[in-house]
Amino acid sequence: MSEIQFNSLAEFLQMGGYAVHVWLVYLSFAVFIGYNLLSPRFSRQQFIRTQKRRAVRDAEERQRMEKSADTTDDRQ
Amino acid sequence: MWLWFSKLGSPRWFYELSGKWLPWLYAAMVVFMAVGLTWALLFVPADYQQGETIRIMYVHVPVASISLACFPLMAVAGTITLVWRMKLADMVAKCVAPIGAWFSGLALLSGAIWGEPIWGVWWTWDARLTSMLIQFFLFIGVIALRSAIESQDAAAKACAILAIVGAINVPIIKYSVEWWNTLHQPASRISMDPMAPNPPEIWVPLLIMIAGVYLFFIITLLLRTRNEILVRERRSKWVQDLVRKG
Repeated sequence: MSEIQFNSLAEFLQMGGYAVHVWLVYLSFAVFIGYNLLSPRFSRQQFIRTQKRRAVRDAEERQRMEKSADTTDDRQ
Repeated sequence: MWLWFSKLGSPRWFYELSGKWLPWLYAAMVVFMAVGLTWALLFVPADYQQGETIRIMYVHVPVASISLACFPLMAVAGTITLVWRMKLADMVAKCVAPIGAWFSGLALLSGAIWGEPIWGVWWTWDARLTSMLIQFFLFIGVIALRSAIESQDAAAKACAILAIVGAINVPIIKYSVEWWNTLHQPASRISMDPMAPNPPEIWVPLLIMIAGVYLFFIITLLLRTRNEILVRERRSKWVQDLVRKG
């Protein structure tokens, strides 16, 4: 393995005059990695949230149905 | 063998197994990426022609070469869907498409950013670039086709066929630099000789980056496939139990 190719941080950031090109590529790489790891996590959380809400709504619906069934039973 | 095959087809079994793999895959990815990126950005010597833009290669080559694995994977998954109707295969096929589009897109973008100072043009209609652009559009096409067909079964079949047919493009991309006279250079032959044009100090960090990006590819594919399993199995008891806990 060879040595570090830059003598200072400034020299490293300048990338021999190709700072814009090199850093633009590494920035897009970071966005690419970050987006593709985070977005599935968010959609998973979203899915769990909606499913929980749906479960609560279904339970309420069932209770209401049972209650209305009870009242009709009383009238008879 | 058949037991293993039918087990692999069970989304629940796959969900639980992949959940155990993920932490290890993450750990390995972090190690490979950290070593690969440090090496590529700090230690690789500047090229005598390209100067520091050689560092772009350590993103471009792993991303572009792994993008070529996406279409064959989608075609194999499509074949399994058509022949054995394995549910899991279609879920994988669905989840590879957007990842393939991302990989092809970044390969094109990083190539253009490198080409602008080194070739003097950021885009040219040479065989390698054009066939890669076609691959990018094929991934978009597969995604659009799936979202356009309402029936899940019909969408799975149509996408499987498009994946199998579209996979013809992969060897064209791979060998375009040899079959045609392209501006894009062919792959450099690796050599153990430190004085060779492509010595170990150039290609060893590249291999490390390829391993790191491959691990990333597997992780993001697993994450998406696991979500797809949850969505498609949402009415089953095990998913409902999982929702209650999570």
